[in-house]
Amino acid sequence: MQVKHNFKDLSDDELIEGIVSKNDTLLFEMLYDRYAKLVYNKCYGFASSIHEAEDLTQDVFLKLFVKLKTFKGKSKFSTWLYAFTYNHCVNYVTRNNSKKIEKQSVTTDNIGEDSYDPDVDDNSISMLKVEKLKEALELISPDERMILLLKYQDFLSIKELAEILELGESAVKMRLKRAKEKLINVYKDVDYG
Amino acid sequence: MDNNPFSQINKPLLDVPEELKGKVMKDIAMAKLLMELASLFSLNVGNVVKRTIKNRKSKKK
Repeated sequence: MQVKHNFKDLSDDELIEGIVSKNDTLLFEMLYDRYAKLVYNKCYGFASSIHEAEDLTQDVFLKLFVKLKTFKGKSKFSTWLYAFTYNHCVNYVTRNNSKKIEKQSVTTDNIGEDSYDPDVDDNSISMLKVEKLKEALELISPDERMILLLKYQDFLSIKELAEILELGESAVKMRLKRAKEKLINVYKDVDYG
Repeated sequence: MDNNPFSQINKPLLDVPEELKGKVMKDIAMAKLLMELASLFSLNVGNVVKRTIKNRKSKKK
């Protein structure tokens, strides 16, 4: 293999191999430079303040350094990192704000199975207004928010979602369908502007 | 999907605070130290098996 003297030329996979084999902090610093903005902004989507987003980002990178060897290269590293970051954020939000979320979600909890609209499709999603959508996303559960963001913001396929979330494809489709339906229902109730 | 509103969320992307990198790398240095210390005290079963077999074979000769 040709030795690459410029670390910036290394692919993500090569970088990770170097970090995992030697716990190389210099290479990890490069990985940070590549993905800090992405991770920070994803964390910000789950945080209630800039300060909280910083803390979450710091935690994600620490956890990433320790768990990087669990990345097996089955998916693109960025895809794996999206899910890794969301998982951390979802756990954080669930643990720390469970009471708050429960209170905010009270209206959505009353939506029974029968009220799900079976025809909610991607066209319904494309009709949503951005600011109102932001509010609606905060009112659904972190798990639902995560799967919707992975699908519609990070464009993961059903197959990739199944791999990352360690679920069957049919389970992913069902979760996605329910999350979409819940989002649309909550969206209708959001009083914006 | 045309006009995907999800792609407009969190835009424009915020810049990462510059001081965050220093905090992260400080965490990483500490984590590396702890991981290396832990490896000194943990039992590498694979290595033990390999060395035992090698030792056994050399004694037979």
